[in-house]
Amino acid sequence: MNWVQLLVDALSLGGAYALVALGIGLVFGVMRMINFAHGDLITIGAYALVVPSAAEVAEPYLGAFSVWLMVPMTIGFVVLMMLATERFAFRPLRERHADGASLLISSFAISFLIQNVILFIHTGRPKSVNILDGLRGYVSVGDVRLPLIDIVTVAVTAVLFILLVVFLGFTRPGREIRSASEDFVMARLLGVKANRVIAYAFAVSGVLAGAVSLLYVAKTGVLDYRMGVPLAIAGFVGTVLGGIGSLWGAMMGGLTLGFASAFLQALLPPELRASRDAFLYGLVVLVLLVRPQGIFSSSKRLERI
Amino acid sequence: MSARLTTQSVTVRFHGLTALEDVSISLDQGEILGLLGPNGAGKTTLVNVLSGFTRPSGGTVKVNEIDLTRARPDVLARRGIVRTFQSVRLFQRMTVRENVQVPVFAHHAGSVEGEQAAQRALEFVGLAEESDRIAGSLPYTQERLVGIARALALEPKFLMLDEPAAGMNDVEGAQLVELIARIPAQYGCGVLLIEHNMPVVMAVCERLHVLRGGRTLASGPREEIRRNPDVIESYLGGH
Repeated sequence: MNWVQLLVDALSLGGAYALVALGIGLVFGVMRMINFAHGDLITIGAYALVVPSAAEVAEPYLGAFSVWLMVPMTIGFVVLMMLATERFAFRPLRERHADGASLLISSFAISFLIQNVILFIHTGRPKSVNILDGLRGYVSVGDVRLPLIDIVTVAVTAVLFILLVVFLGFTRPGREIRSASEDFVMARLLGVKANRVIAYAFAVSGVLAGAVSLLYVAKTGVLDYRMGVPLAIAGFVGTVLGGIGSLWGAMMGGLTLGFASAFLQALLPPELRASRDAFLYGLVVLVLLVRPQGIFSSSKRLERI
Repeated sequence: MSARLTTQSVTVRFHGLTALEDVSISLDQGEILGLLGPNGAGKTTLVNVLSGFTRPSGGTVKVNEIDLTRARPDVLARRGIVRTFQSVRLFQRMTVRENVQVPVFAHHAGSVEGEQAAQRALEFVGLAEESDRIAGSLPYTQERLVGIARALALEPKFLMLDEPAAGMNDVEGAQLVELIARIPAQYGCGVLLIEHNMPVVMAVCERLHVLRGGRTLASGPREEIRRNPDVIESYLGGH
């Protein structure tokens, strides 16, 4: 395998993981809760591309629209579902001052609920769907052919990260999210509305999840009712690896995980490749043993807590 | 018309413990009232009642004739009753300016007016030069000034300062006195100053209200309080 190819591969996988990690990290910031249903909202976005049915051959639904409609409609749908999850699964618990464990269990319940509803409607048979056919091609760099979708994934990750930085840094909702992420109680004392700031975080998290839905389906062309689960785990590991509570850390953690995964895939002897994830997550454990606060978080912050 | 913030016979009980009993104070726009009392006298509880963080078990809180006893903190803040907190707890990873902007924007100020109000407050407390610094890098004294700017940016009618001089040395305390004394003229608001630091209180407040054990011990002009034997015995004795 060529090095350029490997690098693009790693960046593309890392970019997708980083988008998931950022989505999970944003919600974690304001609510101190890992939303394990995040991956299943990615699944929901992917399934929104086809007509709900048990038929063997999937008929495109949102996937039938032109790019300029399909992209905003898919992302918008995931945002709405994300907000609905917050409104009906988490807010009632928060308002009754449920503790963190209850919220976490609720997010697991939502995850299984979504999977089983999709299983019920679409059956468990993987479906194939073609979207964004234009990304199916290759770009030649010298004598290597790079899949266009991987380059687009890297570009989309970069653009979304920049937009996120601008949003958090220079808009009112962004400032509210940052203040609430740092000190939720104080932010409330100063007049920041709890439900509103949490809804902002879920909405942005939904945009990121929707983007991942599209990129993932464009790359694989396959829908599966559990497709979001490994993504959520990778994203969660990414946030912890990067240093939980920091968005920069989530981004870098996701990228690192993608890099490690791609490099293991390329460099492990062929007979061990099937157990790549064992090596990958074994490495994660090792890294956390050495740096429990994450790779990209300063130890100073840990002390301050 | 100049407004007046009053409490009438405010009583607060927590689980059978009486934190405040029958306390009546009044604060006019433009004046500085000192709230004194030993630890546990009920000073912060009274501020919590005035700012809507604690609902009194009895009594009323009014601005002029408008009853605000059961109003929530954000409603009171929008009506111009604003407080600072004993523990300032700035958002360490945000800039000084952003720290001041958070409450302004949370209370629905328009972007332009909000930014201007934040800027004016930072200039007033003398931190305009530091406004792009990360709050976590500020020395302690300046953190407290940001806390005051955060409240002033809401352009309050009534401002409650909860121990703003805590942890300051004499020089810093004197500078703070000078700053607090300028607040009514600049912002036209009434200031309720809770403070342990006697030189600070005596320098800046014309009128004092003294609490002990949740009750009013004395209330009146500064000189009268200074000579009040009960106050001297229970509070000023050691000074």
